[in-house]
Amino acid sequence: MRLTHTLAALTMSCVICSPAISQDEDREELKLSAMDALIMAPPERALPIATRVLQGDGSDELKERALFILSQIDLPGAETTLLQVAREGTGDVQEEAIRMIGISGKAELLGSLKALYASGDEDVKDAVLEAYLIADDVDAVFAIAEKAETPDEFGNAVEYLGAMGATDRLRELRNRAGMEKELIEAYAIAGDVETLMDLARDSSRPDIQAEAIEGLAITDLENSQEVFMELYRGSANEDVREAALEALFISDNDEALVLLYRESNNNNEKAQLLEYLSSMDSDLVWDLIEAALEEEE
Amino acid sequence: MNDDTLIRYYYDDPELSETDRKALEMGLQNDVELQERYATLKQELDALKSAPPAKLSSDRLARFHATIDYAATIERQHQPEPERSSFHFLSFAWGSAVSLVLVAGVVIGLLIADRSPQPAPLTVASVADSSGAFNRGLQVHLARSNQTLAGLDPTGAVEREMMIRHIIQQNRFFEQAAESNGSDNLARVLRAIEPVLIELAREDLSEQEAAALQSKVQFELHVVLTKLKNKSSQQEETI
Repeated sequence: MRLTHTLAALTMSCVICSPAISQDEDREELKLSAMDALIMAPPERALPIATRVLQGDGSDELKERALFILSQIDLPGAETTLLQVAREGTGDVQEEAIRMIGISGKAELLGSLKALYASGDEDVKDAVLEAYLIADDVDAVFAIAEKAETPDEFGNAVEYLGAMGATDRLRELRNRAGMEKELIEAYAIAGDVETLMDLARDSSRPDIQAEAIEGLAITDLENSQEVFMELYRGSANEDVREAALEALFISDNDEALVLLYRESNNNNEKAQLLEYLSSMDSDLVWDLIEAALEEEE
Repeated sequence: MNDDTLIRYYYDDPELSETDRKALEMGLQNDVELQERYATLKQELDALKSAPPAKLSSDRLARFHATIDYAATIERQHQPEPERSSFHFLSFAWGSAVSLVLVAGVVIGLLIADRSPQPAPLTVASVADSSGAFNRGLQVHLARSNQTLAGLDPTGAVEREMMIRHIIQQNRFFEQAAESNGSDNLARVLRAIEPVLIELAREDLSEQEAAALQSKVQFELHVVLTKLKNKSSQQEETI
């Protein structure tokens, strides 16, 4: 009985809704509650109601819920409506429809996102990438990265590839000129230690080397202490050494910083290392501070 | 010992604590009832696929841990930038609203699912292909998350961060398990919720934006929970 009432309320609210009414908070609450109840409805019943909500003047929130309902209905009409809103909708509702296509996972619908990406603005492009992420469609994201013309577009696509763990595909893109920094971030997200190690040990471009070291810091590097200490000691470039210290800091290697402190004869360097150790709240720092003060005395 | 722990043990979840693992193994040696429960669950999960149980992808979890650690470290050191983007994996920071949001989401989801009428069902893509044990495990995971969140001090940033990390880890675990079990639709829904949570965690969200995202997560969790409950109570599925 309750379901019948709430469905009736939702249907009525679609029929009589006007801008003035839709601004009424109570009415909006009622519609949202009715949409909650729609979850319990048979799909044949839910489909036309959700479709009417999308065609009405309801709030974006209400329409987004209707879209989620549609994504869970395995009927051709639901697919048609999702695609229509993704193509002809605007703003948040359009982006949500694209996301719902990702949730639906239907190959035909996913295929239609290619054209939407090509013609869409930045927000639409982001929504398409997110839909591919949700659907785990690595090939589609790779195709976008391959065709990307700007660092921003490329960076966005490879970031998604990183999140999808598409290491092999990211390696295929390694030689894209001028996109090294974007790729390093993606390698780090993907946890591609091997590629990052290659780049971190290549001193021909210190700026890239420093980026790769910072990228390594957020991966699951087993012997991180040895690696970052080696990179720190092995470089004379200030940016590279700074990156190695940051990497030790991020990977919580306070013992390595103490070792570097003890082997240093440079007071500026020692002060820098102490600063890192203090920021890490390491107990090891107190002995060093005490020793430094005793030397002063 | 609940189904959640048994399922995590079955899938060799690297996040299952050593204490829980040892307690479970001891129980499996000495507790006849537990042995029977695990045998039933194992039979159900084994039946879902011919291949041996897929081990969780520890590298994905490790990457995720590292990303959160990095974000938390950077957050402690620097002021958050006011930049707004739709989905930046390395730039999110855990906002103070998140714990409350998740508490509300899960609590409301469970409450509504519990109180909703159970009408005549329908058949949809959804989670129909997932096993009863898996459904129960996911429900237990959500209920346990709810308990953890409800008992949390909302002013404790570190504790909150740990709690959210745990919830998302579990979300990832169940996403992986759903993939292994061939529940692709459920895997996609779980995958879709995560970016919304990450977005919601941003500190520069306005109250209105946060409320809208909160509402979205609540609704989607509600749908998932309702479907799972219908499934586990042997009812045909609704939407």
